[in-house]
Amino acid sequence: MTVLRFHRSLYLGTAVDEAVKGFATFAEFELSEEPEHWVVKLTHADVDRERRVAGELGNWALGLSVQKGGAGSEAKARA
Amino acid sequence: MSQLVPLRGRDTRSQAFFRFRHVGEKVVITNMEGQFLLLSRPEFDLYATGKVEAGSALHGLLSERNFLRSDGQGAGDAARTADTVSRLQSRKRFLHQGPNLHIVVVTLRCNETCVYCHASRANMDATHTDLTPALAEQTVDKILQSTSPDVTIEFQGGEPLVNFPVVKHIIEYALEKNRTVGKKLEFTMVSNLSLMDEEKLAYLLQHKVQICTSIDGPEHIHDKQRRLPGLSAHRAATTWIKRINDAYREMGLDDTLYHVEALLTTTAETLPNWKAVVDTYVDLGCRALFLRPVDPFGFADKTGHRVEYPRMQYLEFYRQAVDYMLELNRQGIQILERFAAIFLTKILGGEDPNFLDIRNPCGAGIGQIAYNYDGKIFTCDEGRMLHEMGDSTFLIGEVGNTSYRDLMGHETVRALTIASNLDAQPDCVNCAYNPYCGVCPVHNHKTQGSIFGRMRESSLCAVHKGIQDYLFGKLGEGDPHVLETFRRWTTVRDRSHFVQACST
Repeated sequence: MTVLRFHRSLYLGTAVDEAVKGFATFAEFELSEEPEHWVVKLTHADVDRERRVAGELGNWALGLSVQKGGAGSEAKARA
Repeated sequence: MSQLVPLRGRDTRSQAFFRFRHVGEKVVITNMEGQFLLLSRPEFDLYATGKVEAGSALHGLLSERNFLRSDGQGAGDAARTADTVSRLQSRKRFLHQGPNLHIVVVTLRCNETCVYCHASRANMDATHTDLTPALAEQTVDKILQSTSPDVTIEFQGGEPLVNFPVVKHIIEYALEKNRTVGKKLEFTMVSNLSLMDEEKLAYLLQHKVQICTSIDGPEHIHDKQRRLPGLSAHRAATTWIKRINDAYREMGLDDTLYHVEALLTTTAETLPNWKAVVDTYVDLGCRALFLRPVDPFGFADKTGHRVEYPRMQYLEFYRQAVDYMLELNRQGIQILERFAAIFLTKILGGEDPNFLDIRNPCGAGIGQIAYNYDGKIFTCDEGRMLHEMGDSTFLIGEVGNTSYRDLMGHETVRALTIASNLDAQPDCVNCAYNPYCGVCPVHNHKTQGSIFGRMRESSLCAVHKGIQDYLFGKLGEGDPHVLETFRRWTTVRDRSHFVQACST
């Protein structure tokens, strides 16, 4: 199992959600929240594939966060 | 088909990719590979409008530096492309290596109280902030997993001499482990020197540990900013600087190369004292002075009203100080300014000196890692400083629990690498100084609430741009003495004495 911790001040929660949905068919995912992080646990029987999916998912979540205006935009939207 | 316009050959008068910036009466143009030219305004107008006459001197200059499109048919085109690729590779040689700078905080305790302390020091009785020998070994194990062939372990604090037994333990354990790992290993210690004694110095000299300290200018400024109970912090530091430099000479080392490195932190109090600061460094026998502005980390966040200043004032201070240093060089006194040397090495030397705070992308995670006394690992020293202020955004693991692979691929490291990539950063992507510059996403995060930052409002960008404006202004003036001094400042000499032998 690989655990990815996306810091809330760097990554948008919606971007992490969207990335996980995009990669849903490539591994098993479990999402949870910690006070400072969005946490994604992913599992695949093939370890190399699991590592590769984790890497690509991270890139995708980062790209989406940037595209959506960065993590600061979520805080501004809530305010 | 007959109505199609016939294809024209490529116009070799038209511009290849370039960026530009007005500097005084000149215009500096740069390209992707970091070549530059300083053009007069009429020359720039000709270039920008594609009207440079083939065969003219200007055409030759532009062509030589790769500022004109090639027709794609010349015999030398392939060689030129290979040269360009080679220059780009040379500038980015630090990529694919891995972190080479490993900062180890052996304690947060410090016997001095600095008004701007970036490290958020702890009192001398806070022994719980001491790194333990067991955790120190785990830290060294992690450091030696780096993929970089060059590894520097930098002891920081607090004051590292407060926890000297662990400093010694790390050195001996790392030397032992490195017998099989085979890194090009170096040790550096950043100390205020006030707890130095002959026994500690003998150990540090014997184990080839490079020593760095802080000198905030003349005694009255230094002692006001760096309080040492009952003593003068300035006298303590300068006494040992002289003693260590003498020891290097006694060991037969070249004193132009081997000497204590001292760093300045510029506060509001420093600004009018630029001449006294330079004179202090020259009197101490220092060959380099790093005119660093104060950072917004640690205690400086709270004492900002006393120590901070508008960056325009800093740049005036910088220009006055470096003008004076250039005058001293003209008189035969060799002293260089470190910011200028870093930028000039990139501008004139075509090399990147791998200064981690001014490179593209920055060194956070992929060039440096900071290890705290409690085993926590951060992307960089600045990230660790923010953690001590209550913001753990840049925490990426713990020495006992996080694998090297997980550190390098950490989501936060990825984000910082993207955020400090100047070729995808608004403003930076169009800036003439793009090939030579670097941003600090942690600074952006602290001052602007986003790792990407907004460069138009960034105090760091103002400093970097202002310094490069000054340097290109000087290059444009063409004073032979200044140009010769600048060339000398770009010369990087290896301090091979500090490299540890990896086998016995």
